[in-house]
Amino acid sequence: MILEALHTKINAVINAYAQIGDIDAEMPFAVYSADQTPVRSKYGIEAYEYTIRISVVSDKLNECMAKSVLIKTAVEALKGTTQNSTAFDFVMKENETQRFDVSTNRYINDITYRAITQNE
Amino acid sequence: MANTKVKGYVIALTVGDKTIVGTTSETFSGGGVLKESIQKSDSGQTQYANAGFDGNFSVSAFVYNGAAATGELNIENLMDYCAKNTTGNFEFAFGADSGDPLVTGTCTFMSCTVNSDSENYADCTVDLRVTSTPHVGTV
Repeated sequence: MILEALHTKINAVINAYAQIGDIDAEMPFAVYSADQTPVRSKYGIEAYEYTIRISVVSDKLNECMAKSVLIKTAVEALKGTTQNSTAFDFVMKENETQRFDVSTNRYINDITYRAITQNE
Repeated sequence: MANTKVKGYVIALTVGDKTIVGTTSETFSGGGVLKESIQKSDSGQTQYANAGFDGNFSVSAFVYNGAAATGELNIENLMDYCAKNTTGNFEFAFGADSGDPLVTGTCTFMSCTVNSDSENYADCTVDLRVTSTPHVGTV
């Protein structure tokens, strides 16, 4: 499954959590999600297209960005490989945005990828 | 039998009993060729007569490498057939059940367009021309 593959790669850099429900995490950490759209031909599902969203959270901007660089390298390395039984054909960065949450005093770097996999 | 909507994926073009592997969509367009004429005896009223059929298929599909399985046309076959304008018998079925409409005839492979970019699987579009008046029967 793609969430396991993402967890393996991102958790090797920083504490990582799937973006499901409330998260009680120690900083720095990352949360990730993957929205799936099947790619179909007339004969069935040919592949899966995912929008992957990763948010890197830290109370230090330098740390937030440094961890982001490592995570990007790890995620982009998935292209052409099979991780946790998910075969990645394409992994393309689409967007990256930094923001600061004034209520929690945390820096957040939101990274979006588009990935196409042969299986779920 | 009550009318039922035809599911798009049910419609399949076969040429020589083979389908194009990885097909994502098929378009069929065609109709009779209307010839108009007028003679003095027509008293100024143009006359129309059917003069054959003009039709085309356009098939979009993912590009696959590797040997084609039995009953499949892969990109190698398609490129070859288009280059040689190979002609074959086609069947265009609107379902697999007995009594479903089935259009048959002959068609010629005209062109193959391969599209590839850096962010998606390669796909192709194959154009075929119908070269006989189609027969509309049933499966």
